[in-house]
Amino acid sequence: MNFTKHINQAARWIAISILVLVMVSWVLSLAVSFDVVADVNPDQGGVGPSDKHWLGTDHMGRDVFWRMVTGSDAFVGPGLLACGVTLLFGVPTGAIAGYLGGIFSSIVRFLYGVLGSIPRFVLVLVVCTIYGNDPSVIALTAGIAYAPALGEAIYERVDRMRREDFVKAAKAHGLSQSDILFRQILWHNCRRLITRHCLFLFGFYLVLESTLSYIGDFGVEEPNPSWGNMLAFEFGETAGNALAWLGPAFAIWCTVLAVAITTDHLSEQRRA
Amino acid sequence: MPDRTSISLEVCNLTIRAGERCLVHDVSFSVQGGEIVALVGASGSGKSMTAKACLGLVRPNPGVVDGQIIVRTENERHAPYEQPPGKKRIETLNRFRGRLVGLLSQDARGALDPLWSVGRQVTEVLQLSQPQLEVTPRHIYDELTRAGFGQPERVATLYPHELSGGMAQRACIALALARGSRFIIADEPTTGLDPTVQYAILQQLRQVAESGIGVLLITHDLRILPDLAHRVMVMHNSRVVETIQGTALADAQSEPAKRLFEATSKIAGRRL
Amino acid sequence: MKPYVEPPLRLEGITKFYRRGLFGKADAEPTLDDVDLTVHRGEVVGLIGESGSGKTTLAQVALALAPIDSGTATVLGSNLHSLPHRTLQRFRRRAQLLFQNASAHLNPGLNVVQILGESARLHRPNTPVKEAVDEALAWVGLNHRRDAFPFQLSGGECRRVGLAKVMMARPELLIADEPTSGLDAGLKAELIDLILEQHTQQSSLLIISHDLPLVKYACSRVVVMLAGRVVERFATATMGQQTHHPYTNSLLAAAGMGQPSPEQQTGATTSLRNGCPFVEQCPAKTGPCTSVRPLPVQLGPEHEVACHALGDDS
Repeated sequence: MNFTKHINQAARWIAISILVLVMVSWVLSLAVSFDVVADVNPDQGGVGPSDKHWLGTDHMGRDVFWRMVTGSDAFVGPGLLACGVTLLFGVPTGAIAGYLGGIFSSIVRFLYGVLGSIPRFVLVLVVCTIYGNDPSVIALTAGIAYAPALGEAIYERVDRMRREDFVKAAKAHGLSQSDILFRQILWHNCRRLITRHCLFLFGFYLVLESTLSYIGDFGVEEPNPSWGNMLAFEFGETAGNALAWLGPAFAIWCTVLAVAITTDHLSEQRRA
Repeated sequence: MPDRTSISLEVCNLTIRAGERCLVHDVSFSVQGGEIVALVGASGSGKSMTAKACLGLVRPNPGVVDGQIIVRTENERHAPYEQPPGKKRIETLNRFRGRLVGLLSQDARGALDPLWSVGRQVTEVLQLSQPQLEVTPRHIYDELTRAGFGQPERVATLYPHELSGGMAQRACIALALARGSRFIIADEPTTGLDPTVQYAILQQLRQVAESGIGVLLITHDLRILPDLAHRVMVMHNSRVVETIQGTALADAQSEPAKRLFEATSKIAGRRL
Repeated sequence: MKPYVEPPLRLEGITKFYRRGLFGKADAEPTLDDVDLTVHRGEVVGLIGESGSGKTTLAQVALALAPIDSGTATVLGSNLHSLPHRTLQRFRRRAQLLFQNASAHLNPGLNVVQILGESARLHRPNTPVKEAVDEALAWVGLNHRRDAFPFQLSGGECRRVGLAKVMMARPELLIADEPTSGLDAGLKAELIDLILEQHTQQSSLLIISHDLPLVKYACSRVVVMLAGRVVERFATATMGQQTHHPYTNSLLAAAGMGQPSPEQQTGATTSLRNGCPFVEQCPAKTGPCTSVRPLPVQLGPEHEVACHALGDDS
C-alpha cells in the first residue's frame, strides 16, 4: 500500500514539474528572440547533440532545442485563451441554469446537447477551412466547443445544491442571491471542478494543435515551429538526428501525461 | 398450539470484531416463537451488528470471531457459525434465511424490487415457499390482508415507488409472512415514519407475534417499547448491560439503561 | 428598536397550491388551505403534523421562501410577501428557519469553523470573528469538531452546527422544522434544550414536529395540521384531558399518551376541498363529514376544533 502511495506522490511531483517546465519555456519563447526560423545551415543538418545545439539540429540545420522551446508558444498561449473562452461561456450559463431551473435550464441544456454533439476536432477543422489558421480563432473554437462539457458539470453541481435546500437555507439566513451563487456555490464548491476541466482543455488543445500542424495544411505552418509540425517534418528523415522528432514527440507525450496526472490528483476525494 | 419453546433463535456468546475494535462483545439471548424481544441502545452500541449476524450479513472483516447463532424449530437445527467461514457456512445460512428467519429493514422501499408490483413480489414469495401451490389473486389478497392492508386489491397493483413509507413496511411484513418465516428480525422498522404510521406498524408486529412468530426488534426509540416488548435488552458499548421485562422498564438498574430511559421519559412527559 | 405589539408571526388565510410541470400547472388540491397561525412574543408554539400535512411548506411560506396564492404573512410587523427584494433580504436576519434537512445549512465545501465564521461576519459584524465562532462552538459543544467538513459529521452534529449558525443571527423569531427528527432520545432532549435555552421573553419560537411528546415538553400551545388545514388548537397543559379532534386522538394514542383507537389504516388521507380529510379513518364520522368542510368551533377558552362530530353536538 505504501509503495503505491509513494509512486503516486512521485508521479505528481514529476507531473507538476513538467507543467512548470512547459510554462517556463513559453515565457522564454516570448522573451527570447532567438531566430530559429531562418538560421538555416543545411550543411550542419542532421547533426546530433553538441555544445552548440543541445539536442542537435534538424535536417535543415536548425537547432532542435530552441525550436522546441519556441514551439511551445504554438499551444500554451492559445490553450490559455481557449480556457478563458470556455470559462466565459460555460460557467455563467451552467451556474445560472442550475440555479434557476425551469425553462431556462431546459433551453440551456438543450443548447449544450446540440453543441456538444459535434465532435470538437471536426468543428475546429471546419472553422479552419473557413477562417484560416489563426491560432486565436482555433482557440476560440476549441473553447466554445468545450464549454458544454464544463457547463453541464457546473449545472449538475449547482442544481444539486439547489435541490438540497441549500439555496433556500442560505436565502433564509440572509445571504444575497449573488453571494449564494458566486461565493457559496461556485467559489467554495466548484473551484476544483473548474480547474480540472481547464487542465483537460489545455491538454486537449496541445493534442489538437499538434495534430493540426502534423496534418500540414492547418495549424502552424513551416517554417515556424510547433511540436506537431516538427514531428511531421522530421519523421520521414531516416538519416540524421532522431532527436529532431523524438524530442517533440516525447514533449507532447509528457505534457499530456502530466495534465492527466494532475487532473486526477485534483479529483475530489473529500466528498464522501 | 405448537410447543413454542421448541422454536427459538438463540444467540450464544456472540463476539464481533473489526481489527482491534470490538463491535459486539459476548452477547447472549434467545427469542422464542411468539415473543417480541427488543434490543435497544444508542447508535454505535452494536445492536444492528448483532441483528445482522443472525442472518449472516456480517462480512468476515469485521467478522464474527466467536459465538453461535442457533435457529431451532420442531425438527431442525441450524448453526451457521459452527461451520468455518466459506461455502459450508453459507449453505447453512441459506437453509434458514427467509424460510425461517426474515428481515425487516429500516429502508422498506429499498428492500422491495423496484420493477415488480407488490402483488407480483408476493406471488414470487408464495411460489418459493409453496412450490406446489397454484397462486391465485385470492392468495395474494389474503396475504396482504394478513399484513393489515385494508385495500389489498389496490395495493397489489402498486409499485414500490408508489408506496408510502408505512405501506412499504407493511408490504415487507406481507412478504415475510408469505414466506412463512418463523422469526422476524426488525432493524429499526419504524424509524423515520410518522407517529401514527409507526403505531400501526408496531401493532401489526404485535399481531404477527401473537400468531406465533418470534420478533427481534432493534430500535433506539424506547417510547414504543411499553405494551409491545416482552423483554428489553439494553446494549451499551458492544455489551448487553441489562435485560428488563417489558412491563418494568422503570426498574432499570444499570447506568446506561437508566440514562436512556430518563432521557426518553423527559420528552415523553411520562414515566415509561 | 420599537417593541412590537403585533405578534411576531401572524399567518392569516394562507392558501397555496403547488405547481408542477414545465408551465407550472397548479395541483388540484392545495398544499395549504386557509391556514391561520399566530405566535405571540415570548411564546413557544408547537405545530404538529405528519408527512403531507403541509407543515414544512407553511414554515417556508411564513418566511417568504415560497410564494402563496392567497392570505397574508405578517412577520415582525411586515407583510413579507409584499416587500421588495432587498428589504426582504435584510429583514430575513431577524427571523430564521432551522431546516429539517440539517445539511441544508452547511456548505459542503467548508468546514465547521469556516461555516460559522461566515455567519459571524454576516450577523455579528461588531464582534471579532474568532470570538463569535468560539462562543457558538462552545455553546453547542462541538469544539472538538471545528475542523470537520459536513460529510464527516454525524446527523446530530450537523443539526447542532446548523443551530449554532442560525442562532448567530440572534433572531427574534425562530421557526424550527423537525429539529429532532432522526435523533435518538438522548440527543433529542439535548437539542431541544439547546433551542429552548436561547428562547427569551423577547423572542418567539415555533416548533414544527410530528413528535407529540416533544411538543408537549417544549411548547405552551399546540396547533394540529392535517392535509393542509388546521384541525385543532389547544393549550399543552390540557393535552389529553379534554375531547380532542379524532386525528389528535390517533396521534396521542400513537405516542402512548391516550386511549388506543380502533384499528386504523395507514392509507393516505383523502384531501377533499369539501369535507374532512380524516374521513377515511375517523371512528367518529357522521353525515356531513364527506361533503361539508368542518369549520373551527370554540370548545374552551383556548381550545378550537374543526370537526363535525365534536362541533355540532353542543
